[in-house]
Amino acid sequence: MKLSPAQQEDFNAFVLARSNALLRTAHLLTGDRGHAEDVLQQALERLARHWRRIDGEPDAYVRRTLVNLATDRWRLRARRPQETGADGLERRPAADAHARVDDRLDLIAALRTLPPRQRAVLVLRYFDDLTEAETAHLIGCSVGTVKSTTSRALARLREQTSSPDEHPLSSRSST
Amino acid sequence: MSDLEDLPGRLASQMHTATAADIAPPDLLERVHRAAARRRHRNAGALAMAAIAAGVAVVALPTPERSPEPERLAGPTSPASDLSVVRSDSGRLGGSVTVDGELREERVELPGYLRNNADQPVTVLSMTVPGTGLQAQFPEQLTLVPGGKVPLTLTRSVDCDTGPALPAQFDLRVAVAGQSGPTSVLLPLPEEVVALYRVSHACSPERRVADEAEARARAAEEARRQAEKAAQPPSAG
Repeated sequence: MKLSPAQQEDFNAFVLARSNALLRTAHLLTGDRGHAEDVLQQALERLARHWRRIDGEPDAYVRRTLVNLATDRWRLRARRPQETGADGLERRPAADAHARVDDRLDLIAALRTLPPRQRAVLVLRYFDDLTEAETAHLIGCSVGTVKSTTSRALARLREQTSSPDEHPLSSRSST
Repeated sequence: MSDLEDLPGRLASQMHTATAADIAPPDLLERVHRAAARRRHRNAGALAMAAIAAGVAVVALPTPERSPEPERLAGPTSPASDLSVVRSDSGRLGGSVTVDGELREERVELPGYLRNNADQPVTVLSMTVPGTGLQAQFPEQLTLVPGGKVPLTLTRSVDCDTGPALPAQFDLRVAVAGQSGPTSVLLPLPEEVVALYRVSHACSPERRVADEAEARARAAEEARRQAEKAAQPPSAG
């Protein structure tokens, strides 16, 4: 259904104001910049369709859609031959001068290793800074599940720290 | 391992660093609007295909130009101004109402609801689609509580003459009781609802009666042929 001019204006203003932040969330959820743009466009298109019915929290609606779309994409990719993301091609050997760049690339890679639900919880909790209750509402689970999923996700990242010097989440400045 | 104790804090910091350079493409908004337009086009096409698959003829009519905003006959403070039409996924292409075996009415269940968005109850007196003969029949009157919905179940009398063509614009006229008497509001119907109505109109009661009569005649002819065949003596050899 087409939007009225006033609704269209509100929608456009929302997209212009929030698209950068939402793209960053999408990037962390999908682990790939190109996929992030795709899922964000899809999520915003769905938002446009339901704009009349959304009461005051379009951000939450888009985040929920991004989580769902990223999960769907993850499942689809699991059935397809592995794609090589551009981020993976950019990886370089660790060097002090490039520590920040390496951190960034390694972090994306580390997030990619998590199942979609764990990744979503970490991104929503620590990147979007949502509370446990808000995250639970957005994902559609209990607060207890958010707590346990967060704990498992962090534990899984910690498990990869058998060689702390090389791990993306270890403190490079201390080494 | 002490550097791992603040894992959440460092994770948050690195996630922000990791995506700080991400800027949405400048044409994102344009792409979203194009995708939305494509989706609308696909939906309309899917409806037509579903109708064809169901064996219903689709009348090709030009899409009417729609006014962007509903024509508000009631004032902005009227309870009617807080009503809206919400599309739903349910709905049927319409059935028929017969009295003593004779077709009397066409019933159309449009895939949508009328919703009361006001904070107070609204008394709905009538719902009609001007120019089509479609109207809702309430026992007396209907009170919609705040947030309440009523399905768009409308009927059209067989005797109703809607003229040679469908109206150029499809709107739902809703009359509500107000403090200073009844007022009404015209609400544009969603495109999908209009598409369904066009399909429904194509299989109008008159056409359905004619089709049924033809089917009965064909069945009778087939039965007669079978009876004649059965009455013939079996051929030798």
